Amino acid sequence: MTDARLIHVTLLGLLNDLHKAHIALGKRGHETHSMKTAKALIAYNRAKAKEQGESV
Amino acid sequence: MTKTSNATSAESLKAAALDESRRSEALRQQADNITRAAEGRYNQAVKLDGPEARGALVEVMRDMFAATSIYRAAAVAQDSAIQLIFASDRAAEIDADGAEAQDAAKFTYKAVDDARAFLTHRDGKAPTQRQIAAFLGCSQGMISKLIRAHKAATDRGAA
Repeated sequence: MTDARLIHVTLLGLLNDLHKAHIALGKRGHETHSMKTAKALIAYNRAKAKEQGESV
Repeated sequence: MTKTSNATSAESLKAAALDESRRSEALRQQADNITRAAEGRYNQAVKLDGPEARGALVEVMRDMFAATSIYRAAAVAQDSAIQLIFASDRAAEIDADGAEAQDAAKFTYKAVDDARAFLTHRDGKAPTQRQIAAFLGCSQGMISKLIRAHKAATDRGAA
Protein backbone atom coordinates (compact mmCIF):
# COMPACT_ATOMS: atom_id res chain seq x y z
CA MET A 1 0.00 0.00 0.00
CA THR A 2 1.37 3.41 -0.92
CA ASP A 3 1.71 6.17 1.69
CA ALA A 4 -0.98 8.18 -0.09
CA ARG A 5 -3.35 5.20 -0.01
CA LEU A 6 -2.58 4.56 3.67
CA ILE A 7 -3.25 8.21 4.50
CA HIS A 8 -6.47 8.08 2.47
CA VAL A 9 -7.78 5.02 4.32
CA THR A 10 -6.80 6.55 7.68
CA LEU A 11 -8.57 9.79 6.78
CA LEU A 12 -11.73 7.90 5.82
CA GLY A 13 -11.62 6.22 9.24
CA LEU A 14 -11.13 9.61 10.86
CA LEU A 15 -14.09 11.07 8.97
CA ASN A 16 -16.26 8.12 10.01
CA ASP A 17 -15.21 8.49 13.66
CA LEU A 18 -15.91 12.22 13.58
CA HIS A 19 -19.31 11.56 12.04
CA LYS A 20 -20.18 9.04 14.79
CA ALA A 21 -18.93 11.33 17.57
CA HIS A 22 -21.03 14.21 16.26
CA ILE A 23 -24.12 12.04 15.93
CA ALA A 24 -23.58 11.04 19.59
CA LEU A 25 -23.41 14.76 20.41
CA GLY A 26 -26.78 15.25 18.72
CA LYS A 27 -25.51 16.88 15.53
CA ARG A 28 -27.02 14.45 13.04
CA GLY A 29 -27.32 15.99 9.59
CA HIS A 30 -24.88 18.82 10.31
CA GLU A 31 -21.55 18.98 8.53
CA THR A 32 -19.34 20.23 11.34
CA HIS A 33 -16.19 22.29 10.99
CA SER A 34 -14.02 19.31 11.86
CA MET A 35 -15.71 17.13 9.22
CA LYS A 36 -15.15 19.82 6.60
CA THR A 37 -11.47 19.87 7.56
CA ALA A 38 -11.26 16.07 7.29
CA LYS A 39 -12.86 16.19 3.85
CA ALA A 40 -10.42 18.92 2.78
CA LEU A 41 -7.55 16.68 3.94
CA ILE A 42 -8.90 13.80 1.84
CA ALA A 43 -9.17 16.02 -1.25
CA TYR A 44 -5.70 17.43 -0.66
CA ASN A 45 -4.13 13.99 -0.23
CA ARG A 46 -5.85 12.75 -3.39
CA ALA A 47 -4.62 15.79 -5.39
CA LYS A 48 -1.06 15.37 -4.12
CA ALA A 49 -1.09 11.66 -4.93
CA LYS A 50 -2.33 12.41 -8.42
CA GLU A 51 0.48 14.93 -8.94
CA GLN A 52 2.97 12.17 -8.14
CA GLY A 53 1.25 9.67 -10.39
CA GLU A 54 -0.19 7.63 -7.49
CA SER A 55 -3.77 6.49 -7.09
CA VAL A 56 -5.71 6.39 -3.85
CA MET B 1 -35.32 5.78 52.10
CA THR B 2 -36.61 8.75 54.04
CA LYS B 3 -38.03 11.90 52.52
CA THR B 4 -34.96 13.95 53.45
CA SER B 5 -32.40 11.52 52.00
CA ASN B 6 -34.44 11.18 48.78
CA ALA B 7 -34.66 14.92 48.38
CA THR B 8 -30.91 15.11 48.96
CA SER B 9 -30.20 12.40 46.36
CA ALA B 10 -32.50 14.08 43.79
CA GLU B 11 -30.67 17.37 44.31
CA SER B 12 -27.19 15.82 44.26
CA LEU B 13 -28.04 13.87 41.10
CA LYS B 14 -29.28 17.06 39.48
CA ALA B 15 -26.07 18.85 40.51
CA ALA B 16 -24.01 15.94 39.11
CA ALA B 17 -25.99 16.13 35.85
CA LEU B 18 -25.20 19.83 35.60
CA ASP B 19 -21.50 19.13 36.23
CA GLU B 20 -21.44 16.45 33.51
CA SER B 21 -23.23 18.76 31.10
CA ARG B 22 -20.68 21.52 31.76
CA ARG B 23 -17.82 19.03 31.37
CA SER B 24 -19.26 17.87 28.05
CA GLU B 25 -19.49 21.45 26.82
CA ALA B 26 -15.91 22.19 27.96
CA LEU B 27 -14.63 19.08 26.14
CA ARG B 28 -16.53 20.00 22.99
CA GLN B 29 -15.00 23.49 23.06
CA GLN B 30 -11.54 21.99 23.59
CA ALA B 31 -12.07 19.70 20.57
CA ASP B 32 -13.32 22.67 18.52
CA ASN B 33 -10.15 24.60 19.41
CA ILE B 34 -7.94 21.67 18.37
CA THR B 35 -9.88 21.43 15.10
CA ARG B 36 -9.35 25.12 14.42
CA ALA B 37 -5.63 24.74 15.12
CA ALA B 38 -5.54 21.70 12.80
CA GLU B 39 -7.22 23.74 10.10
CA GLY B 40 -4.51 26.40 10.48
CA ARG B 41 -1.83 23.72 10.10
CA TYR B 42 -3.67 22.39 7.07
CA ASN B 43 -3.62 25.84 5.45
CA GLN B 44 0.15 25.89 5.96
CA ALA B 45 0.56 22.29 4.73
CA VAL B 46 -1.09 22.99 1.38
CA LYS B 47 1.63 25.52 0.64
CA LEU B 48 4.30 22.82 0.94
CA ASP B 49 5.43 20.21 -1.58
CA GLY B 50 6.74 16.64 -1.59
CA PRO B 51 7.56 14.67 1.58
CA GLU B 52 7.42 17.85 3.66
CA ALA B 53 3.78 18.32 2.64
CA ARG B 54 2.98 14.73 3.55
CA GLY B 55 4.67 15.13 6.94
CA ALA B 56 2.62 18.26 7.61
CA LEU B 57 -0.51 16.41 6.55
CA VAL B 58 0.21 13.62 9.03
CA GLU B 59 0.61 16.25 11.77
CA VAL B 60 -2.82 17.65 10.93
CA MET B 61 -4.27 14.14 11.00
CA ARG B 62 -2.78 13.53 14.46
CA ASP B 63 -4.50 16.66 15.78
CA MET B 64 -7.75 15.65 14.14
CA PHE B 65 -7.60 12.21 15.79
CA ALA B 66 -7.05 13.88 19.16
CA ALA B 67 -10.04 16.14 18.51
CA THR B 68 -12.17 13.11 17.58
CA SER B 69 -11.32 11.35 20.86
CA ILE B 70 -12.27 14.47 22.78
CA TYR B 71 -15.55 14.79 20.86
CA ARG B 72 -16.26 11.17 21.84
CA ALA B 73 -15.51 11.94 25.51
CA ALA B 74 -17.85 14.95 25.24
CA ALA B 75 -20.59 12.67 23.88
CA VAL B 76 -20.08 10.20 26.77
CA ALA B 77 -20.27 13.05 29.31
CA GLN B 78 -23.43 14.34 27.62
CA ASP B 79 -24.95 10.86 27.81
CA SER B 80 -24.05 10.63 31.53
CA ALA B 81 -25.71 14.00 32.11
CA ILE B 82 -28.92 12.77 30.49
CA GLN B 83 -28.89 9.54 32.56
CA LEU B 84 -28.31 11.56 35.75
CA ILE B 85 -31.26 13.83 34.91
CA PHE B 86 -33.48 10.72 34.53
CA ALA B 87 -32.18 9.37 37.86
CA SER B 88 -32.80 12.75 39.53
CA ASP B 89 -36.39 12.83 38.23
CA ARG B 90 -36.95 9.27 39.50
CA ALA B 91 -35.56 10.16 42.95
CA ALA B 92 -37.89 13.18 43.05
CA GLU B 93 -40.86 10.91 42.15
CA ILE B 94 -39.91 8.45 44.92
CA ASP B 95 -39.64 11.39 47.29
CA ALA B 96 -43.17 12.53 46.35
CA ASP B 97 -44.51 8.97 46.79
CA GLY B 98 -42.80 8.71 50.18
CA ALA B 99 -44.29 12.00 51.34
CA GLU B 100 -47.73 10.84 50.20
CA ALA B 101 -47.33 7.54 52.09
CA GLN B 102 -46.25 9.42 55.23
CA ASP B 103 -49.31 11.69 54.97
CA ALA B 104 -51.57 8.63 54.53
CA ALA B 105 -50.00 6.94 57.57
CA LYS B 106 -50.50 10.09 59.66
CA PHE B 107 -54.14 10.28 58.59
CA THR B 108 -54.68 6.59 59.41
CA TYR B 109 -53.06 6.95 62.84
CA LYS B 110 -55.31 9.95 63.51
CA ALA B 111 -58.30 7.62 63.07
CA VAL B 112 -56.86 5.35 65.80
CA ASP B 113 -56.29 8.34 68.05
CA ASP B 114 -59.83 9.68 67.46
CA ALA B 115 -61.33 6.22 68.11
CA ARG B 116 -59.36 5.91 71.35
CA ALA B 117 -60.56 9.38 72.48
CA PHE B 118 -64.16 8.59 71.59
CA LEU B 119 -64.16 5.19 73.33
CA THR B 120 -62.46 6.67 76.41
CA HIS B 121 -65.14 9.34 76.57
CA ARG B 122 -67.96 6.83 75.99
CA ASP B 123 -66.78 4.06 78.32
CA GLY B 124 -65.04 6.21 80.90
CA LYS B 125 -61.77 4.24 80.53
CA ALA B 126 -59.01 3.78 77.95
CA PRO B 127 -59.94 1.15 75.35
CA THR B 128 -57.81 -1.89 74.52
CA GLN B 129 -56.29 -2.31 71.05
CA ARG B 130 -58.87 -5.04 70.43
CA GLN B 131 -61.73 -2.61 71.20
CA ILE B 132 -60.23 0.08 68.92
CA ALA B 133 -59.86 -2.52 66.12
CA ALA B 134 -63.49 -3.63 66.56
CA PHE B 135 -64.66 -0.01 66.52
CA LEU B 136 -62.71 0.83 63.30
CA GLY B 137 -63.53 -2.51 61.66
CA CYS B 138 -59.96 -3.64 61.12
CA SER B 139 -57.63 -6.25 62.62
CA GLN B 140 -55.95 -5.81 65.98
CA GLY B 141 -52.61 -6.49 64.23
CA MET B 142 -53.18 -3.45 61.98
CA ILE B 143 -53.83 -1.20 65.03
CA SER B 144 -50.71 -2.57 66.69
CA LYS B 145 -48.62 -1.87 63.59
CA LEU B 146 -49.96 1.68 63.25
CA ILE B 147 -49.20 2.44 66.91
CA ARG B 148 -45.65 1.01 66.57
CA ALA B 149 -45.03 2.96 63.33
CA HIS B 150 -46.31 6.16 64.92
CA LYS B 151 -44.12 5.63 67.99
CA ALA B 152 -41.07 4.99 65.78
CA ALA B 153 -41.78 8.13 63.71
CA THR B 154 -42.25 10.20 66.89
CA ASP B 155 -39.00 8.82 68.38
CA ARG B 156 -37.13 9.65 65.14
CA GLY B 157 -38.59 13.17 65.21
CA ALA B 158 -37.55 13.62 68.83
CA ALA B 159 -34.04 12.33 68.11
